[in-house]
Amino acid sequence: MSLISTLLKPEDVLADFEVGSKKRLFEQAGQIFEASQGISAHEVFDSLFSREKLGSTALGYGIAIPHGRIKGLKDTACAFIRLKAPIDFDAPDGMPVDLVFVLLAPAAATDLHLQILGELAQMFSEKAMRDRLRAAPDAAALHRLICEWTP
Amino acid sequence: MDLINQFVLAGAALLLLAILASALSYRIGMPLLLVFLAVGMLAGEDGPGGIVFNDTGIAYSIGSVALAVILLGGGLHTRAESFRAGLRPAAGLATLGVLITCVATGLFAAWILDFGLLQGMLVGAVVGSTDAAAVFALLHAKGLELKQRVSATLEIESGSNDPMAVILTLVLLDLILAGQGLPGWGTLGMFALQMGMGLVAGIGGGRVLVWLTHRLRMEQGMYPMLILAGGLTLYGLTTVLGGSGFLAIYLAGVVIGNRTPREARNILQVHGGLSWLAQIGMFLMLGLLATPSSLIRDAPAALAIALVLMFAARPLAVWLCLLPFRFPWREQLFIAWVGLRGAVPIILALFPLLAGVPEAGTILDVAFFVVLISLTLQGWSIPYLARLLRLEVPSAPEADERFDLGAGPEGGLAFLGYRLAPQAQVIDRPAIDLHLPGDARLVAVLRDGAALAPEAAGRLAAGDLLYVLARQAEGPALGDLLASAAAPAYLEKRQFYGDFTVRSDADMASVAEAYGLPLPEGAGRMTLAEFLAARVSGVPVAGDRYRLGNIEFVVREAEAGRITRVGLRIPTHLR
Repeated sequence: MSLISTLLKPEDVLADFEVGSKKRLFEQAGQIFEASQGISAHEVFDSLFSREKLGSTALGYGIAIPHGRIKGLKDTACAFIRLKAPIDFDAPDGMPVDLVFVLLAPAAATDLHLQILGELAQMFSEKAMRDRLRAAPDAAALHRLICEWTP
Repeated sequence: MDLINQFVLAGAALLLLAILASALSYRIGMPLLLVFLAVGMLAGEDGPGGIVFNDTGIAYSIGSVALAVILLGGGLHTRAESFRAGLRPAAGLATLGVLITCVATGLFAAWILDFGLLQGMLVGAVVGSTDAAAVFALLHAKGLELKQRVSATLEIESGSNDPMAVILTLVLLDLILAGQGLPGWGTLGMFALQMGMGLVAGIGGGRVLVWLTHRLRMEQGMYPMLILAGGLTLYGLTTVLGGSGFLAIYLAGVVIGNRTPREARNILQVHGGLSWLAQIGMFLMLGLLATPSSLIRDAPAALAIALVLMFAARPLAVWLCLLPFRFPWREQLFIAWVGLRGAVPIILALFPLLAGVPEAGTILDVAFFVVLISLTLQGWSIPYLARLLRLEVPSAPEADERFDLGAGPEGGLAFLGYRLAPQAQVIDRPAIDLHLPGDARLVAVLRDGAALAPEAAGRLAAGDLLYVLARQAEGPALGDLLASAAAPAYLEKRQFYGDFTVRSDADMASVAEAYGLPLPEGAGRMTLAEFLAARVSGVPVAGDRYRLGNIEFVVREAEAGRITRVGLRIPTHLR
């Protein structure tokens, strides 16, 4: 069983989300986490944005895994977002991104946070998995696909 | 007339056999040069061929010319970039290193062969230099890509240490023939003269040749020949004037390869072929020259000398010469093991024979034996050792076809052709929607013999041949996207460099903040590149890694000695 499946709840998955840019996406992600985790949207935005300044978190093939550490957060939080139209993400292969997994870790991040990052990267590196995620009809199907995936 | 025709037939048949046998070597992993040597020995007096060839004069001439051609080809393929990482360590190895190897091996040889001290040293000098042909062939073997610091050091060393071995051999021969005891100051002067003239003639001559290619309008095929003839002239002239011709022609090659002469790519390709021809010719001839039955007599002593050379003398020389450069132990161990001996010891062993030294027969046998053992033991094990010591880096996938537009290969535009493999990332993507890096653009898709415009090609499929117009600088990124290198799992880029790429100019405090890393004292004001450069030994190269907390930073790209891209790897996840 993957670490991600224990973490990702059905309400954390959003299908066919519409945003125009990376910045807008991070703002929206802030709102989502403010609602679900009770942390400041502003802080989420800042954390994700400052990590992005170190180098794009896009992996290529239309995938990005923005991540950051948040002081007030108790447990690791995440959200999977499938965009309706791909946005520019400064990816290594130049491809715009349409599948985004946002991962937030508490300030006292442990190795677990990195393990999850590694697992996500491995999952998205499989072409068959990416194709299935893009073809899935709705958020529930997306959630099921991710939770059924095993490393 | 008939006899000459038979010679031509025998020579051509041998060459053909050697080339066909090289295909076999890819399958069983046997070092190519050993194959050629074996073919020569089989054709020789003790093998089924029964050809008797004992003319040391001819052997010496052919060997020297072949070696010069090989050094020229090696120089042409040496990028100035690799000098940055390898020049200084290689310079020590090529001079002091050869001396240490010579003395250590020589002392042992004098003892075990019951020779005089000078005669023993002569054995050491003859086997003192590593072989450029063998090292180039092994380090550029298909699929082997080593960390640049290691490959550059080894290549430059092997290309430039033959002069030192030649000089030591000549000096020792002089002393033996003159009945003297120890080398004096005159020796040092001679050494300086050899090196100095080689240096000046090589760099100057190389520039003149590049200038000539731009100046003269000739048949396309004549440019590589101009470089060949010019290089050999430089070699001959320098040698006649008392300098080191081998150093001169190697340096001329380096200068030409890095100063973009007209028809640069054509020159490189033709000289790649010429190097192979020279290596085949040389090793075939040396195989013919050997008399395996007489080797048996000196075998025990020769074996002992070979083992001392490989396991004591060379490692000692490498360790001492690399002390100031603080190479990691893995890299030192590898460099010590890649002390490949090739044709040079055998050619040098002909010197005492031509000079009439009484011990010459034994010296030739020992040289032969050392080369055989070295090529077999070291040559065979190098790819495995490189993997064991984790010195390989993922190779940059190359285009399948390439047509340069305009003058030089550097910085210019080129048409690149990529054949899509079934596992390529871009399969099923519409051809008009490719998102190629930089200014690169898809010009045509070749499918079922028809050239389609991108608008007409629809979705890309396996087997399509994509023609892309791109700048040289975009080559690596294009290769990542379109070419599918079938790398073993441990060299897969994601495994090797990690999932994420970080900017090298990111400041270390922010990087540590993003991942909760323990920031060492004083690192807060550094950029990531500065932080890493201070923690790897020597000039940073791709594949250097440093672990901080739970994150491993891997250098992805380094240019001009500066780290430009860094991979972020999660070592606890990827094994």
